[in-house]
Amino acid sequence: MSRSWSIRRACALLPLLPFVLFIAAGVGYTVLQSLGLWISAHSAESYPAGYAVILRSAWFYRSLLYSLWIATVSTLLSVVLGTLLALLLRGLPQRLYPFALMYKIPLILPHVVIGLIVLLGFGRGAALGRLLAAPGSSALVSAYVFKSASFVTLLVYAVLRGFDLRQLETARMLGAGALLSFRALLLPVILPPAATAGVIVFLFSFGAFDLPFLLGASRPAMLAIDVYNRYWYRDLSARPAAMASLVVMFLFSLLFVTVYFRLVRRQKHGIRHV
Amino acid sequence: MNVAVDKLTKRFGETHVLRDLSLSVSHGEFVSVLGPSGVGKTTLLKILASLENPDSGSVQCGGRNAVLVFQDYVLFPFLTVHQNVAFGLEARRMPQRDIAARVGRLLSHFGLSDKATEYPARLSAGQKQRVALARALAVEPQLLLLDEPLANLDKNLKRDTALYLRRVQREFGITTICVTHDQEEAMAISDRIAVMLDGEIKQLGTPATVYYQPNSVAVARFMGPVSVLPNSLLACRNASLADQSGTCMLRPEQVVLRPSASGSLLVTEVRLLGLYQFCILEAHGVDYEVFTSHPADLQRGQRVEISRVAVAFEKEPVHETI
Repeated sequence: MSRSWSIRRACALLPLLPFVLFIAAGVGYTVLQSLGLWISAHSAESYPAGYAVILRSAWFYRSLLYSLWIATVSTLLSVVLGTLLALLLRGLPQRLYPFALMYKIPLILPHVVIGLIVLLGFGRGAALGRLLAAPGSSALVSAYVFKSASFVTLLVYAVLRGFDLRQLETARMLGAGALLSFRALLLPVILPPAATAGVIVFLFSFGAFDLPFLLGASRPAMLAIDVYNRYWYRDLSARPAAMASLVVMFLFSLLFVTVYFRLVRRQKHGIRHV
Repeated sequence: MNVAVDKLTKRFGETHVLRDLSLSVSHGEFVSVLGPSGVGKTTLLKILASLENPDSGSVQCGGRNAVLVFQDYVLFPFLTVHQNVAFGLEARRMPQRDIAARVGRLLSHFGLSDKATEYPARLSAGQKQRVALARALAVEPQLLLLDEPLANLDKNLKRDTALYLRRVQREFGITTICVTHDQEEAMAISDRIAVMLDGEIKQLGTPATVYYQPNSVAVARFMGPVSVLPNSLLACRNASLADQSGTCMLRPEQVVLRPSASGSLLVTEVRLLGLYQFCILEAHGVDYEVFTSHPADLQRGQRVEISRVAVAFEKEPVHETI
């Protein structure tokens, strides 16, 4: 019986097989190239592994730090603004809600369109670009925030819709101010979806290519741009380093997600019983 | 603390929810506002709790010193029972030692000491209600407002809980206004009942008064089954409830139907409704709907005569203070 159950479970997982194979093949191919193997289909020549190159490269560290900084700032701003917008929406009268759905527009716009909109605002001749000291970073962060804040709003608002506003009325009757009500009643509701959205936004910002390509600075560049430049604009010997950067990005993302889920699980089992 | 509500008016769009509503409640009194669903009872509570503003009229009840306990209790789901009860005291920045002492006393009083570290999701409906009451009473409000306090409970639990609520209210000596649509619930729990119909208080009096001496047919019908009969049909014509139009409103236990071959009324329909019967009596081509507890064995086609009996409650003095 246990054997047939195992077979049934294996069959149920079968539809996932193409995705697993696709990801495994991609990661495997990247790891192989990062080690200097299978660099070109037309050449059996092997190259030195890329890890030594990137770990000795100051550019790599500067790109990594720059990517982390952009991703962190974009994530924090997106989460704060997106959450505020979700709270605002929750407080709106029902009849105004159809108009408030406009917040979803950035979600359906392609990244390149958002990039161009921001480029017009932050370009050298544009007013915002002149106002801000670092137009490249500001434009990039603005584009990420423009795109991601509505995503945060979507997730947080979905949870807030189930929040009983009478909790706030009760808190007010019991003498609580806005800060205590927010900390004790709203924050526990908002935090899980905001954190989940934050993780997704962070990883997206950290590894994205299109927006940095349009808007980002080139020295230092975001890691994805650095990888692209190494892969396409240099000779074959630079490819292992490009792929090693990708592997580092992948491992970092994996570590980040693992730590996040461990924290979430510990919180679920250790503190909350609702 | 006296609660004085004077000519309160509230509209939502075109709907007139409260119309010149007036009500006064004495210190330590338990008053139930009784009315059908959608009549504006909860709106009245929210105005008393300062959660809504009236369009006109005035309320004197201490504003922020009123705490409303919602029908479904609205406990804070991410706080433990102890934290729920302590919430209002934390908000008032009371010293931690005093908070712990007061919350401990309340939890012990409400039999919740062993639930102090539980979250609301793990409590039964009765426990949730006790937590909500303890949380409200922790801040020692001058006015306690209860929204349908027994609505979420089993029928068997209702009477016990009603008595429990009444005991708690007396022990804490707190002025309480409760809204409900359930007549039995209101009678079981209240010093006085305010019958609210069409956004107005139609009658305010003791449970016995509003039940046995309603001031209108609408109030009488809302309070329970009532037979509205012309005095001329009653064999015994000392009906104290007879109004000037010559009709009399009688509760089932006040109506006696006596089988008599020469009786002027013909039983054309009989239905047993538990404690009483509903029947249609015909006299001179007119049908009368009658609720009666006596006798229990009426038959269709019988001829009967009708008389009324007085009940002890009717002899109570009447306090009409609308």
